[in-house]
Amino acid sequence: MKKIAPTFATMVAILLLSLAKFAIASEPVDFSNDIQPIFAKRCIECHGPEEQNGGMRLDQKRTVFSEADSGHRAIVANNVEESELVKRVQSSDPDNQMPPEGERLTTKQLDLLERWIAGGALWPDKAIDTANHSDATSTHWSFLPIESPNPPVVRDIEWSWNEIDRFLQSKREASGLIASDDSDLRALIRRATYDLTGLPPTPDEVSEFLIEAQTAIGKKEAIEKLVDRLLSQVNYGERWGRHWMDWVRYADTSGDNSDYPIPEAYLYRNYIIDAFNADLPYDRFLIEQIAGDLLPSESLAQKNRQTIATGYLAMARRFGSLVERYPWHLTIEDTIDNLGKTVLGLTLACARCHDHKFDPISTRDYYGIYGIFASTQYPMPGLELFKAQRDFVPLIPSDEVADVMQPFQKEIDKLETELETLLAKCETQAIEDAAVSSEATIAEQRKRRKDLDTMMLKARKAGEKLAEALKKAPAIPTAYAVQDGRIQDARIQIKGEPDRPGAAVPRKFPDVLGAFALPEDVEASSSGRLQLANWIASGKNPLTARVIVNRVWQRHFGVGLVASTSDFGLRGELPSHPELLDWLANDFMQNGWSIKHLHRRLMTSRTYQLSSRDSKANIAIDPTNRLYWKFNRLRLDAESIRDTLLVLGDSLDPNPMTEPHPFPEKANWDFTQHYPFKDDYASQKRSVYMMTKRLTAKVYFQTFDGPDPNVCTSDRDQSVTPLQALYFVNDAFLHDQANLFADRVTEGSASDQQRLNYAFDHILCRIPTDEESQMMLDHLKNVREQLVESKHVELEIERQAWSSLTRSLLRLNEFLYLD
Amino acid sequence: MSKRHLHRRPLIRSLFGSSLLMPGVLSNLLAADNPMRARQSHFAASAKRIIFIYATGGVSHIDSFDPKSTDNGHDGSGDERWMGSIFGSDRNAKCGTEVSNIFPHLRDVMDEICVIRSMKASHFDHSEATLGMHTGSATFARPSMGSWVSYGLGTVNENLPSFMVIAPFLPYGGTQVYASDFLPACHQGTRVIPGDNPIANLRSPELGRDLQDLELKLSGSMNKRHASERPFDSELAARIKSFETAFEMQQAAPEAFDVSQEPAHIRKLYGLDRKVKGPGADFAWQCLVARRLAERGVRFIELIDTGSRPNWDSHGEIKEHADLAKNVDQPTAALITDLKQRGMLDDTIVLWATEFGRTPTREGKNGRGHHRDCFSVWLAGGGFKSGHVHGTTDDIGKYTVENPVEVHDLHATVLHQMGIDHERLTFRHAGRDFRLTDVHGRILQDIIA
Repeated sequence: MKKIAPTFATMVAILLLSLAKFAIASEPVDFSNDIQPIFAKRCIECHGPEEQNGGMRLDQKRTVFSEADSGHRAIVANNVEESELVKRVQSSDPDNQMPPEGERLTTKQLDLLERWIAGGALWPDKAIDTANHSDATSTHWSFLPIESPNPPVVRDIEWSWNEIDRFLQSKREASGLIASDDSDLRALIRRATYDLTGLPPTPDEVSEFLIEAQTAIGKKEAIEKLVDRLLSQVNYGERWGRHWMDWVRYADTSGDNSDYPIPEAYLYRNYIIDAFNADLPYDRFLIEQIAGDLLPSESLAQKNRQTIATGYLAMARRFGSLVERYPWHLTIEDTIDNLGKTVLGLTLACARCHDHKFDPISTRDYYGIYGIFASTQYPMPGLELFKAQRDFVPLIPSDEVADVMQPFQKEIDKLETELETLLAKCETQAIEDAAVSSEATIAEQRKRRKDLDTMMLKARKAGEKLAEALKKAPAIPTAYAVQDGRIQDARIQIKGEPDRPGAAVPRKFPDVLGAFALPEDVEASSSGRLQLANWIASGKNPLTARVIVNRVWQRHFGVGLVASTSDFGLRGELPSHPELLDWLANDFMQNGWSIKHLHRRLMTSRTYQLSSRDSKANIAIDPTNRLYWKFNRLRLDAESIRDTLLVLGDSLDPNPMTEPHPFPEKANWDFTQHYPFKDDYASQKRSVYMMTKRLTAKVYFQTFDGPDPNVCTSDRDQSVTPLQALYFVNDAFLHDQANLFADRVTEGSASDQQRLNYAFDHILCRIPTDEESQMMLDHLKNVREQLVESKHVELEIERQAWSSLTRSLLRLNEFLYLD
Repeated sequence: MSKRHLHRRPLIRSLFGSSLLMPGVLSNLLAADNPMRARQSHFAASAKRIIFIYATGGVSHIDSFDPKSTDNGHDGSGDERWMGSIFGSDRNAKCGTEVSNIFPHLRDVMDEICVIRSMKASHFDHSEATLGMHTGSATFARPSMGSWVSYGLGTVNENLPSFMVIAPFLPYGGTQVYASDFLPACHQGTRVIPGDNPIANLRSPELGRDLQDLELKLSGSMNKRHASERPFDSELAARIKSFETAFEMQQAAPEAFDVSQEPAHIRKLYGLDRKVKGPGADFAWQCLVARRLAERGVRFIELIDTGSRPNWDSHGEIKEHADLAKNVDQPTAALITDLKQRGMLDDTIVLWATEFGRTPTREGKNGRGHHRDCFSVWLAGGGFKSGHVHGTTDDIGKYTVENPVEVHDLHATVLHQMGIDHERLTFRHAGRDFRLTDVHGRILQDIIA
């Protein structure tokens, strides 16, 4: 009933309007006097220079007659019926009516608009257009080409070791800052070793470095040698692969509400680690992850490696539990969101529902990329009402797949066709329902909803049948990877709702980054992922090299040159050293996009090896160290703490994990949102290999600021909480490792002093001072006395005493921080 | 214990306490940088703390706080699948609010409660709607309401976390439900599990406190030497302080959880010694501990009655609701009575919510499906009207009629009572100022006393 009244009122209005038309049809309408004031007063706020809701603006002639996001034209000259603007101002449907709030337009205003359109919608060229919004934003620094600046002249020429230093030194000099002293060599090797491997240096490595730096080959060369050695260790890929995993929100489960496991995910994890160790050029690394399956290959091994790389896209989050209402648009949004933040430093996903409020990314730009992923077949990891894997990519030749699947293929094909047909019907029906919903009576709507429910239930049943059939088929080696799917351009989803399709948008790259379109032959035959990958990984793209160079910088120095490492847009932070950033980006590209080269550059700068000590004078000028006058003291991250404890306890299994996690048999999968997957698997391997679930985080990683596997974790927090302190005081794993370390301490050496040196050397990379030794010996004495008092046996007393000392050392800030 | 123990305690305290350690510097650094410090609210607050009771699975509004039955003249509009409240219902004698017969204790305290019957859920599925109720977003990871409140107001008792979640089982959405997401990690919920070891690492695995004292003395003095050479680093100072707090927490937290200290009449009030089993069996303990944590200054306390299964998701048999209600009805009502008699209800918000309602029509033989178009939540204390009902649903309990309320509105209003302007409590992340209510939320002035 509610809906009828306004519709009736509108009809009366139209009737009156038509009558009025007869009376005054001949009177001319003046744009500037009659029309522009209506736009200015009622429309421009949302369809003008500030916002272009629906991809439409009424303040400039240039765009006013073109197609809006809805796929309609607001104004079609000489054609009132086709002009969407007229429909909207007359509509009383809350989803459609314009203006959406406040008074309706008056009858007189409606009449003027209609007559203006009917009379040819004359828009004189002299009418003033408002300044163009996008021109202002595309001059933003990060959208401008990467420059190749020369390192500046500095006053103190002696100080700098390389170009990086000169850029930094020049700014320090200008601000009256004097760089801190060089770091102590022990602190330096500890810093560099954790930085590149996530593990502590061994005492032997420390002493060798000291000898070389102090005597044999000199400090600069000793550091170069150290960096080279660390970069050549497998540990390097495990450490820096983990950083990449933070950014691409790696997980071993899919993140839907039942959190289905993905046993194949580890292949992508290992691909990342191997890529870092092999120093795969970063541009190639990106192209493989976005479109590895579309690249040529010379062998099955290469083909598989490239296929596995697209695990990056497959890794997008899954949502929901129903096959018949599966929200693929959210998975695609998650893909675009991560690609934007991680690789381009842009918050693209904001443009899903409306043009980006701050950055020059329009809804059309968003759906231009969206179409590429809508044309991509994502694998389905299983969900509550479809408990089987689907569309994983085989890693054996297709004829072998055909052989193995032959007895099952016919049935699967049949069921797939059934399901797809039903799903297509549901989709069409849902769109039709949404389109007519404003007109339909409640009874009609109810009937439509019921009909749709029935259809969807049928689709669900078909899905369940297919899932059963898929479960019966033999397991073949597959990857959690993508392939090209049904090629299509996307239609804009009005306000982000898939049931409300608007204009179709050809697949393309955003305007501000070049507006590249797909070549015609590609457009029809491919998703366009390879083109997208090439656009992204191009040296001409102003963002890609800058973003990764800044990310690597941030993990070395604690704070990026651009502090907001995932946002280079207008709302992000400005770079502290824009010339240095460009110089590094250039140098990086000129050296084959080599990440290892970048590490060498950064770590052989003098700035990298500055002490972390403060100076009162500097603090007064630059309290947050934005100008890098000292090294930022960094807390060990969650993985480094755990891995170090394993090393100390001599219980680390250093071998890479080359097998899947011991997930339950796929045939038995029955996870639902009521009983989601939530296993944990014990492991003595490095933390990078631990099984990560999206739904249930491990308490340990929550406590120590671990990565959030649901979003790009740009950098790790360094929180200080009592729960962390409680971990160091009471955690059972920490106590176990301390006991094991105590055994090592007491086995090896005879005297307390020797043992002390051993413990300090392994935990803090140094030996104790005399004063400290005395404190430690006093502690041992007190503990022994106490243990005797509480009647411990002698052997146990020694172990406990040293374990107690070990635990005390693990609670030191000197252990927990890299100076 | 031994004499040594007695004199060692003060020594440890003085080592860690700000009095001996770099006097002045430390406390200044801590005051400025401490993300947990108590903060001024935007405007005068009605409430200082929140106890958020979350009933998992979707409680049937018709069988709880919005009864509809043929006894009361509802006829189901001729739909033969319509099923009225099967448990019957009655009104509170003072305020007249009608409540299902499976919640007799809560009915008795309805004169303290403001029921909202016109809630609309953000999604039709559990995980999404649960996340929606907690974070305002049904799909993407966002900070929990408790994290926002902790971030906005800090804590008055640093010996306990500011946001504690007493949950015997994990709800739908897992740990995301109480995650701080992009807010600083110190604002994440700390899960408390009823039993011997409610918080991880609260108890030493094997050692006596004497040995721990010795160790903390040693690391404390080493850390002090280390920090004195780095006097400008507030983080080092904060970490030294965190060990002091942890040391205190080992005492303070078990003490807070120790309900045996409560007198017999209070234990009885909550029904602590009832012989109950099944889902929600720990709920009396949860409610009593919530009050004890509230007394100790914890800012945001959440109680989750059951996990993702088994719970209120009564698809097959709505009679399951009776057993579930039995476990939570008395303790929940006791919490309100107890807060009231201690004078704490005025500045404590008790919010009871679930993710969505259940269909007014029958599903299967005798169950009800998910229903997002309307459901009930309620509030007590914290400056909300008492004995009040806000919003109505239609005769059969299918759609809201008057004053529909979105989850964002509820969030905005709860923050408002805490003295927080939901549009000003923001955090810059990925180029945008995020807030709990996204771009939505209006204050429900009608439910504020």
